[in-house]
Amino acid sequence: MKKILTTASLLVVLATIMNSCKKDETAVAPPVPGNEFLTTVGLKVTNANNASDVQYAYWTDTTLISNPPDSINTPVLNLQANQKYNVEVLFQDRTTNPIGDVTAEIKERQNYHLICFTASPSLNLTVTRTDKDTNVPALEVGLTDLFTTGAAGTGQLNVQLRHQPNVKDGTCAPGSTDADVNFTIRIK
Amino acid sequence: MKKIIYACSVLSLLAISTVLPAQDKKPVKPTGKSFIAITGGVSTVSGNYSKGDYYNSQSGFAKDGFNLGITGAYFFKNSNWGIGGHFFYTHYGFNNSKGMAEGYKEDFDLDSTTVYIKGQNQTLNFLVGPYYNFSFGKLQLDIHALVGLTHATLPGNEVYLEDGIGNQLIQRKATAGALGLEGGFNLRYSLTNHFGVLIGANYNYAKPDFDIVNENRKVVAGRKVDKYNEPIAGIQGNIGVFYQL
Repeated sequence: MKKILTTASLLVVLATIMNSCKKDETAVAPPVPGNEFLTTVGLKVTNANNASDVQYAYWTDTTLISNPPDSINTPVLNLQANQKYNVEVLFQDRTTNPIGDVTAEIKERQNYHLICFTASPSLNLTVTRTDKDTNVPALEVGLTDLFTTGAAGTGQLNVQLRHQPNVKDGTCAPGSTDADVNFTIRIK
Repeated sequence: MKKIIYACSVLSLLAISTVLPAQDKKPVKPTGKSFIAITGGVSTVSGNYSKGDYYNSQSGFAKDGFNLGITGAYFFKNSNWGIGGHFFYTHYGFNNSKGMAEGYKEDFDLDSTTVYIKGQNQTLNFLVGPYYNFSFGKLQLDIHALVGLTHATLPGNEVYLEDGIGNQLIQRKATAGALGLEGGFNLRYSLTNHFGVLIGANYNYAKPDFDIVNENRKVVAGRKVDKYNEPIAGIQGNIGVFYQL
């Protein structure tokens, strides 16, 4: 019996020592150089009362594109007063040919992305997000929206793509900014 | 001539009389010698428990490790049968923590992530059952089939997302008990009347049902495992020293 107890004690001590010497394992996934670009933010605007009234506006970071033509940077929309517009926000990588579609990737990762709109005070424009993610409860995303115009006026519409990994709560504050661009909106 | 025949008859009778008692003796049947041993060795893992695939929720991220234990058996008098047990601790390594970090990085579209593994893949086993012994002089072979309790631990982890400070994803360490099974053998070699060395191999199986607590999961994204119910099974290869009665 004494031998059994001695043996058991030795075993427990050995196991404890080996266990206490073991450090928690750590792994880092480092940044990968040459990752994808997001060069362009676009707005596709369709008049809710006239499906043929479609406009596109693009803001492009031309510093990332070699020999950029002027035509790729057209961040201006001309809207009618007191109308409703269905809007799609488009994200593109124009460093590639054909143009890379980043919108689908944002859609796939909608549970931690939010598009935020801020209209300048001179602009009579209300923006309502119309799509939701699959969080519980579901939160707005902003890839599709409804623009409601008021009286005539001109101003800036700031569009931000917020990246909110594990912090998305429906507000714009948490996380970091993937894109931050301004469109000129003229309401006539 | 008559004397010679008489002498031969007497010698024959004498010879028969000395041989006959030897034929009456039954051969001594070798029986098992009760023993206790300290063992240790490698423990392999197999199946989903050994997989390190981030995108497979059944992956257990365990890799081969080691075990330490006590085994022993009491053999019944004049019998090869006995009853015994194997009480042991098994520690498995963690398989592919790098892959886990890469998976979270991809799933949250980040530049980098850091994963800290909290705790160990390990089991504590208390198994008892029948032993059968084959004796070959100093060499003895014991085979056994054991059943009992396995207490298993699944490590937790903390995933730090590059973009957020203080918003790490937390998967708590989980423990669970389960029925444990073992089949195997020990080959023992006696160095003295009481001491010797052994080698052995066992197959172990348990299927604990872990309930896993996840904390600070604010969005539906990234690997999240709430339950884990996969077999912890593999082969042990052991060496040890024993004391026998």
